[in-house]
Amino acid sequence: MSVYKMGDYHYDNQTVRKFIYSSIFWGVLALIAGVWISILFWAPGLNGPGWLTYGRLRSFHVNVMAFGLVLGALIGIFYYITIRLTKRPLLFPKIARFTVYLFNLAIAVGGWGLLMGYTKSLAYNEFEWPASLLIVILWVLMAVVILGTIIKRKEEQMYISLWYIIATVVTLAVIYVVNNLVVPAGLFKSYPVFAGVNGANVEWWYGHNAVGSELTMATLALFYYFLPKSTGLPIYSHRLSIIAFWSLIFAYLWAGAHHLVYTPIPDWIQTVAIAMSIFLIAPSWGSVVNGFYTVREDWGRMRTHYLTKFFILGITFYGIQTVQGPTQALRVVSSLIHYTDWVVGHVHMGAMGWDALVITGAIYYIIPKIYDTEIYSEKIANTHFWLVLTGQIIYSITMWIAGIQEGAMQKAVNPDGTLKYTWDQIVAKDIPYWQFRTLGGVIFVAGMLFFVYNILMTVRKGNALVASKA
Amino acid sequence: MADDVDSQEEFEAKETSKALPGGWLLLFIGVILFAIVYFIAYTPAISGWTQTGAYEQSLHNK
Repeated sequence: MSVYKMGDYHYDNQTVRKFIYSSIFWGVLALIAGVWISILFWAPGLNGPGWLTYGRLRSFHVNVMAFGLVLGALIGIFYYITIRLTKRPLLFPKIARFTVYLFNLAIAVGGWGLLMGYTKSLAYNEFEWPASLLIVILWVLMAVVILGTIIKRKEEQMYISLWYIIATVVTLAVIYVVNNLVVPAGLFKSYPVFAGVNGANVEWWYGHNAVGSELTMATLALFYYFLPKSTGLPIYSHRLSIIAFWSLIFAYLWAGAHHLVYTPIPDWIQTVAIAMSIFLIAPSWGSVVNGFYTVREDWGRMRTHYLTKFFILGITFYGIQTVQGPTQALRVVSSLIHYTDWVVGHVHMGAMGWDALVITGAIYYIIPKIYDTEIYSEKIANTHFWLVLTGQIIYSITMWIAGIQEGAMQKAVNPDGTLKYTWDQIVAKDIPYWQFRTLGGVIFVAGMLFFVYNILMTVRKGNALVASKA
Repeated sequence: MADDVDSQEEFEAKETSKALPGGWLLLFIGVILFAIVYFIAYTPAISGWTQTGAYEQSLHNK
């Protein structure tokens, strides 16, 4: 065991907590927006004026989810993990505290802008330049705190989670800055410096790796930290986790152009991206195998330690996701399912099945730990688990079926070479699937509301405990 | 409030810390080989395959 003496200082749990609460706040807004726009698909008459239109709410849902819920939770949890694995407080605690306020300001400005119709129109990067500038400043400050703390660490050995945190911090900084090289034309409008094929290539290099760093590397940092913590079982193989990490890092940034198969992007760039995508199955499954082999020591913990199933089901969906994704990159598969609802099902399985389970599992671990208490209700946590699992599976499967149907109808031709189906015929066939998707979404959001309630009650219990000790 | 510290022992299993499961290693080598073959087969400067060429070929086959 560690010889480190406790009680010399206090970790800055306040900053961690504020990030988690902020992310829950933005997450609830983004979830509601998501369910609402899913209804608009099959009930377009409900489309409202101004900020209530589908176009604005869709970009609000995507960007506030990615930057408000996920990024907020991740920064907070990064702080939490980093101080514990480096065995020292954050290097600049005041800057860390300041990033909470900067974060909320950035999401408020960006989210408000999207609702008002101000958008950069770049996928996953739609906040107009003032909000993006705030995010860049936020990210630089956060990087200084995290990397500085790691450099000045008191524990010599760096656990795998720290490597994934470093990778996330560096990758997102590079891709976000490059894809935000814009020329402002007033406060609410800007033009990207890259255009045409170059613009498309930069955009998907960014888009793929924004998902790759936030929803993959960062979430793996959490997975490797909280799986051993919540199960009491050490990670099966250190070597496997390190090999998987470096091969993932090696390949990930090449794979973005698989979003541009059968486009004017040069053939060889598409080919490199597809080859790298297929290669990525191995490093991804390195983490899957490591996770399963860890819990194989005692599967009984799926019953006795309620958080085990969050991480094990999470890594299972990550495993499915990372076979599906590379397969989709292949030219023959891409030509069928690209530009259909299949892709929507794919990304939502990742977000709702892998990221949501791991991030909520981590928060379930952190909040009671900070207050030195237990979770308010394991029963509610289990209800949350089964609801988000059911909701996600309904969502993913209906979108896969709809996507294959759309792809097949789009490709169908008459003997004389004309298209067999018009666009509105394809859309009309989608309506039952879109209704089922809303059902899945409602079940998922219900589960997430159980989670929010459980966390709020735990905080209330924790605050009462603190007051009684004071 | 509890200030917990972590030890490496709770994160890394001792006996299996250097293990690489055989099935995974096979997958690792397999996808590397696939990626190399795919790269050779679909790079215009190496194999002569092109996207436009493949498209025109598909029109002839109809």
